[in-house]
Amino acid sequence: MKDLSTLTVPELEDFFSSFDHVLTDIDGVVWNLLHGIPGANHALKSLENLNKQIIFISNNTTRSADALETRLKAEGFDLQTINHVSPAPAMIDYLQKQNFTKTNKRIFVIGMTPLRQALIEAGFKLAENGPDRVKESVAEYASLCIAEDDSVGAVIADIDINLNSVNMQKALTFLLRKDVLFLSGAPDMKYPLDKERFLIGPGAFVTILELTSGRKPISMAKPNTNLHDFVAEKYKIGDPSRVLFVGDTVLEDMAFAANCGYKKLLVFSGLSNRSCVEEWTFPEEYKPDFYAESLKSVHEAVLRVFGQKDSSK
Amino acid sequence: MKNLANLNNLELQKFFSSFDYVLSDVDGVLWNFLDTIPGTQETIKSLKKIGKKVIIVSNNTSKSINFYHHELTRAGFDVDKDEIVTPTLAIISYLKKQDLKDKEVFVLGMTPLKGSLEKAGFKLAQNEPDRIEESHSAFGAHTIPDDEKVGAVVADVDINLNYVNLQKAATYLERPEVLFVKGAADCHLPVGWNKSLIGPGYFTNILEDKTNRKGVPMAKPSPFLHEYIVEKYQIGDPSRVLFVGDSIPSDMGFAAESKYQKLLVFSGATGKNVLKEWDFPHEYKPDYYADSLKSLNDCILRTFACKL
Repeated sequence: MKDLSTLTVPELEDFFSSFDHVLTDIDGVVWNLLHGIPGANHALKSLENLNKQIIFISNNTTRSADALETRLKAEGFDLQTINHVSPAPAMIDYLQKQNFTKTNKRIFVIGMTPLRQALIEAGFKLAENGPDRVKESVAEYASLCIAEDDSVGAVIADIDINLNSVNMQKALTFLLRKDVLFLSGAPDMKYPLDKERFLIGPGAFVTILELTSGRKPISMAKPNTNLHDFVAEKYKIGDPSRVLFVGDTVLEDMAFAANCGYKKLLVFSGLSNRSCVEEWTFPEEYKPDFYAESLKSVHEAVLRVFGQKDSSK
Repeated sequence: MKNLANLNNLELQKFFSSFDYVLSDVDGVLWNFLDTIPGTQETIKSLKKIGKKVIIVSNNTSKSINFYHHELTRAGFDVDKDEIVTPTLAIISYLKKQDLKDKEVFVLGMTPLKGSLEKAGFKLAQNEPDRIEESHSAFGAHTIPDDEKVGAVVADVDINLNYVNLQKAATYLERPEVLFVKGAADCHLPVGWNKSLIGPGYFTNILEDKTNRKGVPMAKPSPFLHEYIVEKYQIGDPSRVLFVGDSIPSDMGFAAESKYQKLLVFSGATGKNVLKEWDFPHEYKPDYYADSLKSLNDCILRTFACKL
């Protein structure tokens, strides 16, 4: 594990010539929820100027591609091309490869509007969700939730802040039919607020579906390599070692990068602290190749190697 | 383990003089979903005639005691309102013993439980809405703020449970002085033969994992429910209680921990095959078993024929 800011110029030259693509996590790397990360925009622009392909990757399906572009523009990210990957397009791609539209079946979605809209725009039909509130009768609730529906051919379990018991139960009913596809998004057991605090994560509910159905979902989110398969195909990445992955978490980002064979840069502008590299308590294979305070350090490294030739400013 | 139907007259006499109370489960013992089990109404009547105190014990908190009483009476069971116990009563009794003062109770549960808590004098904290705006800030606004007025969280079955309310409960429970009480906590909610729903247990497990706290359990097989029963009915010697149930972990487990005598019936969740190879803790083995509660009435008729 090397501190990026302590590399010599020759080491940095090697570093910059070791990758062609930059796959970067968003929250905690490019910006934080409520405030920006200084220097991140210059870093990405300068990497783009070095002919590196910049690809944004996030498990957060609640942010549509449009919303990402809007915020990028607002925060001074002046990139020529905006490439964006999340579980949403990956799920759509998977379903298309399964010829799902030919089956004429519907998808039961535990998920939020941006995901639903993306699915509809891609030509899929969604099954009705249960109501927000049902009459307090266990018998009627049971009838509603265990009713079979052969028109459902897939269940997607993704983050949904309006997730409720009714929809969990309906999802389970459909999953008990083996021919129904089971896809999942963000697997996090924790929904992080900041470095210390977190809420119950969407993964806690996916786990209930796994336990009660006896089925494992096809996960289209970090750290599962299904997401890599989608990225590699879409962006024609032949050699994963030519990818620099930038992330702020060990168990999701560094694990994903390790699983995929990418080079790893861990930054401390999000959920991780420098203390985790001072005393490494995670699996060996998740160790980042490089670490830095934030993307700003990457920009500083570019300037050191390529001087003021860098025209990002 | 003795088959009730095979006891001889002497054994039966000893059997009947060994207990004063009969605690009976409902689902799988008195009825199954919509159908009552034949002969069980007569058993209750006969037990009372021979001077046994009959108490119905159910984990079902989705019905109020009044409603339960109404249903039982309508189905022909001679049971008084104060002869019915559910975790709701144990929850109320437990909370009354804690020093809640004016503190509010945040309930993940249904109207019968909430109504009972209010009637018992508790103030309920407001629940979060069924649906919130789809934004990170709305989610935070509805789940992160604590409220010092909240002094207890009760987690029970709620078919309208949602993510926001579950997280809100977790937020309150981060404060160590907030009490954590559990009602119905099974992972399965049986709703028909071979049909069960995701039970409240999965959601209370999430709460316990998130907060690193264990809720005080008030449903079978919890000793807190046992404490409530012996206190309410002034039961001095638990061995003078015959517990009748159909579930081994929930009923036989409860009876074993409470040191009651155990009668396992095969009219509900458990089949006779368990007798061939006992796959459960040794102490859960029933003292007696029978096809259904009706068998107990047959025994009563054999033993007390002239007295009834």
